[in-house]
Amino acid sequence: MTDIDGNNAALDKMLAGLAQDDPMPSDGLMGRVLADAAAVQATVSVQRHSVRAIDRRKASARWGGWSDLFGHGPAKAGLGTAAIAGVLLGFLQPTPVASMAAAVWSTETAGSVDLLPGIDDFMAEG
Amino acid sequence: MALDALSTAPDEALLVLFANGDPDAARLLAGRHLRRVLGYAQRLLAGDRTEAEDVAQEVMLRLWRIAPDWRPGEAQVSTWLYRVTTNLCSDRIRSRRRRGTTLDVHEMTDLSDDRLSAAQAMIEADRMTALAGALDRLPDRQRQAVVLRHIEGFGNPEIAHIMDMSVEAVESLTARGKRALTAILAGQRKALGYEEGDDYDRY
Repeated sequence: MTDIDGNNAALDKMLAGLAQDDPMPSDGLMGRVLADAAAVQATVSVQRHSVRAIDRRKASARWGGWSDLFGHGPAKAGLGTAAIAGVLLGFLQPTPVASMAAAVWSTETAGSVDLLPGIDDFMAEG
Repeated sequence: MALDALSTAPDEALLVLFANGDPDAARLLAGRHLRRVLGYAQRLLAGDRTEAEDVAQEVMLRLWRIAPDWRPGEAQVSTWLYRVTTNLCSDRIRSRRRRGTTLDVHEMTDLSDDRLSAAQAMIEADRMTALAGALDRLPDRQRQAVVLRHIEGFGNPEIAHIMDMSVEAVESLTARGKRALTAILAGQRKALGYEEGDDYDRY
C-alpha cells in the first residue's frame, strides 16, 4: 500500500514537473497567429459594413416608394406637424371654437356632445 | 482603449473588443493562452513541436472566427480552447494511425537548471522523456484526462466539459490512466536510475 501511495505521489510530482515545461511560442508562431487575427478582423469589419449597407438599401426600397409620394425634407416635416395638430384637436376640448361660434352666429353651442344618449339608462339600471 | 487598461480585462471582454476591431485585444488573448494551448497540444501529440504549432495556430484562428458570435457566460474561453485543442489533436492522431505513421517522442523538457548537476539533469531529462513516452502509450482519452487533470491543473467538472463526458467518466479515465502510467514506468525503473525497492518519490 505504501509503495502504491509512494508511486502515486512520485507520479504526481513528475506530472507536475511536466506542467512547468510549457514551451514558449516562437516569434514565427505568434506572428502567424496575429496575422490570422488581423485577417479575421478585416473580414468581420467588411461583413458588418456590407450588412449595414444592405439593410439601408432594403429599408430604402421598402419605404422609398411611399415616401416619394409626399415629397422630401420640408414637405414631410409639414405633413408631420399637420398630423400631430389634427390628433391634438381631436382630443382636446376646443373652447375657443365654441366661443367664436357664439360671437359670430349668436347661438349657444353645446359644451359637449352626447354621442350615445341611450347608454345613461343602462348605466342607471346597473 | 489603452493597453494597460485592457490587460486586466476578462477574456470575454477582450473577445468583444476583438470583434469590434480593437487591434490590441488579439495580442493580449494570444499572450494569455497561446503558450498553454501549444504546451497542451505538444503533450497530446507526443512532443511533436511542428504539429503542435499547427494545431495551436488553428485553435487560435477558430477563436478569432467565433469572437463575433461568442455568447458570454456560456463557456470560459480557456475551457473552450482546451476543448478545441483536444478535438484537433484527436483528429490528427487518428489520421496518423490511418496512414500507419508513428510519432517520435521528443525531448519535452529543458532542465538546464543551475541547481542540478549535469548528471542529475540528464537523469531528470531521461525521466521526463520516459514519462512523456509513457503518456503517449496511453489510450487517447486516458492521456487527455491525465494531462488535463495532473499537468494542466483542471478540476474534474471542467475536464468533463472539455471532453464532453460525465464527471464520473473523467474520474474513471484519470484513475485508469495513472495506473497504466505507473505500470509502464515500473518496467523502466532501472533504466531511469531507480534502485530496486525505491519509490519514485525518493528522488
